[in-house]
Amino acid sequence: MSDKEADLQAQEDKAFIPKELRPSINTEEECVVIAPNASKAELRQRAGEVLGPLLKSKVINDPDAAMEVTKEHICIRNEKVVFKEIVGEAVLLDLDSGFYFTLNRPGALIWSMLDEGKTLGEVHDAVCQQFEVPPATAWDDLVLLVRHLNREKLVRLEAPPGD
Amino acid sequence: MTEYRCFYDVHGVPIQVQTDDPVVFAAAKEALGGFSLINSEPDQYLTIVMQAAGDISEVPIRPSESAQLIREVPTDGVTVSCTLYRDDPGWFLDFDQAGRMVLDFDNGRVEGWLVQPGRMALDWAASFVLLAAIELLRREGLYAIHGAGLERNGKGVLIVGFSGTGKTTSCISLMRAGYGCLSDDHPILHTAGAEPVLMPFPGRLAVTDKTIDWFAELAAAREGFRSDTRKRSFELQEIEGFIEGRPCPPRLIVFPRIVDWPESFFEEMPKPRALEELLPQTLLVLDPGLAKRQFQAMADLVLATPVYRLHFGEDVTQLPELFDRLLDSID
Repeated sequence: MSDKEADLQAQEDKAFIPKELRPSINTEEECVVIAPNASKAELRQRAGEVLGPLLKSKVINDPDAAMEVTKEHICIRNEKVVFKEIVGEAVLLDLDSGFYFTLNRPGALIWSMLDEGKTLGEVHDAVCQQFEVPPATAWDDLVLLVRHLNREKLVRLEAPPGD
Repeated sequence: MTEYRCFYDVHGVPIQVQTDDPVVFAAAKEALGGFSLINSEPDQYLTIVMQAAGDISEVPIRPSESAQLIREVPTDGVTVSCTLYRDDPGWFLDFDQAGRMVLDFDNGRVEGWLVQPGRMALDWAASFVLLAAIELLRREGLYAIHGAGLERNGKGVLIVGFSGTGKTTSCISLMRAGYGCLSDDHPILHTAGAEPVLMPFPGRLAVTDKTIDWFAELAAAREGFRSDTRKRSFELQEIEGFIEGRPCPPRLIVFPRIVDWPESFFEEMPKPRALEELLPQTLLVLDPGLAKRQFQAMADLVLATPVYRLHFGEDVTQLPELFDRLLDSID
């Protein structure tokens, strides 16, 4: 790490609100408007424009972002995870770690389908049928959830046959 | 060397406690002494062997080379740190300089060592025996829950939450109004039968000076309370009108949260949020098979029982009316 990067890190570690996020007193500064239906990718890009490099690497750059997830992938539940569906949501317990997780309604629906050998494309279709959501947003959310579940070792991702 | 040995009857499950140290034996009595003793050796029983050492270097058990590190729980300033290993046999718990423990669930046996237990507060030394007993009891479908358990007219009330959320204060307030006490810290949920039953874990009640100040009868008896523990403690029978609760089906689960407001009030909780808050209060679960059964038991409990958030205001002594109204509305 260079001296400049070290200084930057020290500043960001110390500041409760990093300088990039503090309100600007320059009222003439151009304001970026983000549409309410912006995709996760767009939000990620916009956030990347205003965060410093360190926070960007911590918050914006998903460590699993490089992991390719396609509609042909199949996601398989870890057998050592038990779950209970409660009023549409799902509470998961990882028996190996003792950690537990809660999935909201769309997450619980996705989790219920991971046991059926469906491809992520088929899971995506089902989510779009069940919820009023733009397909691109649903896919972004599905990929985000699958990466998170994979990172926590609650599922494993299998490449499509022939890969 | 004298060997101290006895059998406690914990809701039909015999637990043998064995030690060569009188302080450890007293700690075991502090932990389990609310249960009756069995005079002759039962055919089957769970076993806790706990010894004393002068220094951690004298403790003869340590994790094997093939032990797998599972979790490190750092000290929170009150409890000691704990490092958990999966080992053969069972599980190894390393309490830093305070002691070590091996839990062998398959054989229903815990072997542990405490370092200078005579220098520990009695309730602290007792907490190691309690931990061992609670973990073993899961095998038998007896799940201790960190919370207060009470009974009124055959209806069980479970007040669940982390320390400092008002559990004990709520418990005392309700006991003054005639609610029977199952435990102020870890009642037991028994799930082996057709219907879950909330059962007592009898023992001394531990209170802070602040809680004592809320209630005139406790304040009047304060000087008689034992203070060789981290809090002051007393037996149920020391306070007139305080009674033990009877085993009963759980009919209400309450998650208190202290609020800066004159009046307390209930708010119905979504079931998933209740399960999220209940799971961390079911204490350490080590064995995956037992964890799976316990998870199912807790989920079933939440699904079958009304769950409420208690926004706990300043009207501490008015709580019984609030609870009475809610309990009366529940079948």
